[in-house]
Amino acid sequence: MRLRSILGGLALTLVGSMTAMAADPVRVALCYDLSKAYTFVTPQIAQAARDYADILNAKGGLEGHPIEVIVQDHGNEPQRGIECYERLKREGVMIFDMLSTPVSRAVLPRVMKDGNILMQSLAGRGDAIDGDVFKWVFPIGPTYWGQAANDVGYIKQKSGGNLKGVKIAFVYVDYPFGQEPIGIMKTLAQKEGFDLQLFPYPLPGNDQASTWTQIRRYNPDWIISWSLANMNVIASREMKRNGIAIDKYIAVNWFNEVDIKNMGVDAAKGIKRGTNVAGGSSQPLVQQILKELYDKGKGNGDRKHTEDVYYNTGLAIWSIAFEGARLAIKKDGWPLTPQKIKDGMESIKDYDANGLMAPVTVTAKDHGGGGKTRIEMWDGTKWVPQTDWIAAFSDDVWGVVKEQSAEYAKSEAQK
Amino acid sequence: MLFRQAGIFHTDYAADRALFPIPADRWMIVILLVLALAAPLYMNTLYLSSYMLPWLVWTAAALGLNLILGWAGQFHLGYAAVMGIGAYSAVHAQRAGIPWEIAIVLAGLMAAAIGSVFAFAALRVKGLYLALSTLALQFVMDWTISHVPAISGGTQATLQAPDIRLLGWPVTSDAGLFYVALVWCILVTTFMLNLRRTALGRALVAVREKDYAAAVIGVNSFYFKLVAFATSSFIAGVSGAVLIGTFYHAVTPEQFSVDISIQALAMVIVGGLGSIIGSYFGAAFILLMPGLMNAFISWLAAQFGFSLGIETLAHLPHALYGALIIGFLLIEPLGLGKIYGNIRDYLLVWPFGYVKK
Amino acid sequence: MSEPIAAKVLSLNNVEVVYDHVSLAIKGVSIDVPVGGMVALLGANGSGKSTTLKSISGLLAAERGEVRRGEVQFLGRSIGGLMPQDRVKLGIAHVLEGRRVFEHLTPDENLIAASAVRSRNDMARNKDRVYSYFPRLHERRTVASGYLSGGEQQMLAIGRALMTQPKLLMLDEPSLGLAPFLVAEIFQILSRINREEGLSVLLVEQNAIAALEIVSHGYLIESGRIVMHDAADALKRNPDIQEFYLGGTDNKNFRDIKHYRRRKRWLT
Repeated sequence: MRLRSILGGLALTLVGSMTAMAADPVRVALCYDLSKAYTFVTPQIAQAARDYADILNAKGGLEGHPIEVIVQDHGNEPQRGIECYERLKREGVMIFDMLSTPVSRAVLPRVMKDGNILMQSLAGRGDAIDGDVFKWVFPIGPTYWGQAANDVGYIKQKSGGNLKGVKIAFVYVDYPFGQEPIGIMKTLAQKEGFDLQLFPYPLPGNDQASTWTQIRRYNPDWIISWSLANMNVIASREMKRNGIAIDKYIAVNWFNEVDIKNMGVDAAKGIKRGTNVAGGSSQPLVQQILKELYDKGKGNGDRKHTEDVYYNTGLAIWSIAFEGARLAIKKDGWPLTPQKIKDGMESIKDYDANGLMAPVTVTAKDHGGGGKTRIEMWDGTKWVPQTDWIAAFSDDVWGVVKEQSAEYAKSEAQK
Repeated sequence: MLFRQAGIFHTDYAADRALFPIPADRWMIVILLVLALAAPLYMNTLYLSSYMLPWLVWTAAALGLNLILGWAGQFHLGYAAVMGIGAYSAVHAQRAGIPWEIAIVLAGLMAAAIGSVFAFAALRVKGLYLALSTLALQFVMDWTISHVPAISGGTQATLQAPDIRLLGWPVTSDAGLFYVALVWCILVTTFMLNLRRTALGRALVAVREKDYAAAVIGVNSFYFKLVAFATSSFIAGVSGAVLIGTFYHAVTPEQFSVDISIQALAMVIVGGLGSIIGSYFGAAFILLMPGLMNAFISWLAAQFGFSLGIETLAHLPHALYGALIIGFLLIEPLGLGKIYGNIRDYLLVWPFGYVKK
Repeated sequence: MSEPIAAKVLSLNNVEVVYDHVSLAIKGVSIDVPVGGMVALLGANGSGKSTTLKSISGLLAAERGEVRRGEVQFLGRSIGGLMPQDRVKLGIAHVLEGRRVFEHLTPDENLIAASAVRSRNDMARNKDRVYSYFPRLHERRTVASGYLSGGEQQMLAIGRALMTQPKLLMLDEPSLGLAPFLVAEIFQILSRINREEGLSVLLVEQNAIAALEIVSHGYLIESGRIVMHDAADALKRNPDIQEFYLGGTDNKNFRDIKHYRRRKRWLT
């Protein structure tokens, strides 16, 4: 037992960005899956968080307090995610992100009980944007329901404002991530009168052949796809084989430049994706980071990662978290408490990190920040926006959110 | 020496057949029990709630799997699914207003029922075929949970577990939850220790060693395999329910996925097939070692000032952890429990090198 | 007790084997097999006969045993660190107790499988040799070995060992479960091989009557220790051996066994 406590007491953490500043740091914990299922995105996001923290620290941090970014691996195992949370919580960390649906779900009851901030962008329960129920969770960005609704909104625009008779295929990987938008899609199909058909394919998503044969028979006008990373590449191959035009395909946000490369930059021409951040390294914030860090050899990782859309996603998530903490210090002063950070987060208004993402306005009721996305199209060399930042059918989306969060609230009340 | 066989003479059968015939063992058990009971007094809540508690629950679960794998010698690759059945049953029962004490028993019975129905079909085949059909159980459960909203709790596939109440008293403190896990672990351990001395235990070993030899002495191997599956499923079900009640507080399918089945299998194999103390070691090794390795590598990196990329730092512990498992199994193929056994045997016969058996 | 002066093919020196780190099986076992000799190792159940053979052929590791002390010398060379297959290459053949033929292969295939350590050219010649000793195997060479009778399987097991062109053939209870006339037949063949080819044989047996007929020397092992060693004729005459291993002369009271124990101590 003693041995364990000695070993356990050893520094568990990788201290990211520590600059010698007198003031107490604002510490944020990135308990990420750096070794199993989410490795296609976590390194870029962690790198973005550390880079952006360096940039802010060089300018004096958050109202004089430096940011300390703690990165730790939980291997997508709920048990280890909880361990990470419990350990860092005792070390005074108040802002956490798990970036894994299973781990976020597992940590949620503890976060809600302890009252710590859980950033939960793009992972975990979508209904957590309901700030009335999930006081401590900030899934800034769109929910999957919101994304699906925005995709439908885009299709509505393209169809001249009328969806009657339009055929939409919803193809998804058959597990909770892919199943999530089914409800909202059905609701919208009824409301807007478009024809919806569901096409599931099984995990791990390498075999989609029979699914796409069925889609060919259905001959849809649009295809909305809930697939992760390389599953999109496999879908593109099947589409080619079945003679389905690739410009009908709208991917969820987990679709990046690496996947495009795997499809072939020309073959992918015309493919679309919904996203809540502007991709590419031409964004002013990315340019600033490249100039101030990478050009001087001070970057926190591979420069190539900065070209990836997930790097921008990471910047988006963490710029909001840092902004929330900054507002909290500015408004209520040091020392920070979770309550102060919560208030700070909820006073973020029209924040877009210098054009990097959809303008975000967080309120006590809406922890999602508006849930705006836009549809982009790959033109062979870069992503071209097809819409403004939109949040379509938000009443319907909130209908689903409220329905689910009410269920959670009910089970909480039972305790 | 600590353990000493010399000078211990049993004058009646009861003493000879005691669970721990050697006084040193008895003392060790007493000391460990006292240490465990007093743990909340000297151990900080982080270790108590994030290490000790899951370790105890997983040890209980590993013991249940050991019953099937180590005693009855039957493969089971869907053990986590059975734990999941228990977990979901308990949470649903609790949400329906059934007290937790009864809910976990229901969870165990539900798991035992489904486990046995399944075993009824699966046990008609042996060896690798059985392993594959238990894997099928895992996939059927995964699918059912993720496709039947009434079970999984809607598209979020998360069911919040109501807080535990024991005899009407809410148990929410770290110490309280720890004691719940401790009691369950001790119960299962006691059961397993005694199993060796029962007709069931002997029949199971007979079936494991040679099932047709067992058949010619009148042991109905199918029946006993079935009983083993049911009993082990019961332990799995309750362990799953306890894990949710004391640790996760919410149940989701990933907590009982095929990865977890493999992890449970690893606990038993690394710990030692059929070894009770081995299940403790195995669960500790599989559960805590990745974290310790992480800490160790980070510490090394900090000590010697070499900086590693985020990804290297995440993968290195896994590699080292894998190497450790292989290393230990090379040293002693019968697992950590056997390493302990070797040391104990050595001490028992000390100062001699061996005993005549 | 006379020591054979001939050159030794095998010599065990004070060998001690411990199972599972703490469980002693044999202790201080010393055995010599002269080149071209035929030696029997006799003993009751559990006395350590098979353990002794396994320490020679290197099969202890599989049963968590190890040679703690002493030395196994084969043709003057210590073979303690060698793997079983390397010992076969040197010329040690071990016919396992209970035969252990490859049941799904035919006798022919069994024999071919056994020639893995020798060159392909020798294979046909070796096979002919085996078939000439065991004509019955030739008759049944195309049936799956699992269908052979116990005696035939034993012949196959011996034949398989011969395929490795051994210098020392060790047999673990070849008479186990066989009819007396089959035992006689197999033992005759063994002594023929020994006579014609000069192959050294170490025979482990419980059937002392049959064994002592064909060997020149015998060792008696009791509780893991060698308690007696003499020429076969002398052993046959020994009253203790007669009493306990050869079926006895008169009916004796079981209480008299104590006398034997006393005498045994005296002997060692």
